[in-house]
Amino acid sequence: MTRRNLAAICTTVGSVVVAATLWRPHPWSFIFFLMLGVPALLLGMVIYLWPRRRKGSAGA
Amino acid sequence: MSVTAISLLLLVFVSLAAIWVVARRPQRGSSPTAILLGFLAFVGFPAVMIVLGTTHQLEQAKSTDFCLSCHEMTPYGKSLVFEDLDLLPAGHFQNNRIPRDRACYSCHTSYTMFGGVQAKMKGAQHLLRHFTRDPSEPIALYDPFMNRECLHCHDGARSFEDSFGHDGVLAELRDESISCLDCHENDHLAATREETP
Repeated sequence: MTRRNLAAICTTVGSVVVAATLWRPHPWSFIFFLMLGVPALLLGMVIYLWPRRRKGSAGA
Repeated sequence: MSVTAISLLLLVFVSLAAIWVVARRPQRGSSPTAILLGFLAFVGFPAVMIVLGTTHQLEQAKSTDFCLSCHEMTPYGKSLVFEDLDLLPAGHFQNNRIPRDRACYSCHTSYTMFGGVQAKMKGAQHLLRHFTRDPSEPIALYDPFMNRECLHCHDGARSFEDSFGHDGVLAELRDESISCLDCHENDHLAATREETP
């Protein structure tokens, strides 16, 4: 699996959680948003932005 | 549904569409359009979603439904619809002296610079306590209820300042040397007690 696909999975999960927690004012919505939605979106960002290794530089 | 929630929902759909477009490409694009789309899909849209989502969640946490969704708060919710309007919560709620959708928050936040933040921190503590152990019995305020919260709305109102009971004690009420609750009954559990035989 490529890094881009991994970032896509994390961002998709985060987006779906954010959308799902919009409906009802309930502590569970708050907890899911904070504990699952936000970390998944942040993880997607980090994975996408993590610097790529240049070809040939590894183990030089 | 609030404007924030609708914007957020639209953003989620746009973001998912952008992710789908980016992920379908066989390789990470090097054209400016591909780079911009990738950046928006994985960084830009999620960042806006986090900001809008946090705002929305914090706004929702002020709602009466949110506070009363924990079973510990059921007896307190009953006091809002109690028949006796001399009871402070019932009188305020049923006469629309406070917004009905923010009944708990209107009186139980601190009207100071960081009062809203402090209320949220305490709310987070309540959630933790709810899931880890039982709350104290009976549930009590952290600090004595301050007149500041009442005067935030009532101070300066003619009906408050001209009323028979208040005219001689306004200074004491403002400097907190006497409490509003010395005279005004604020027993949230009265409704529940009356139900119990």
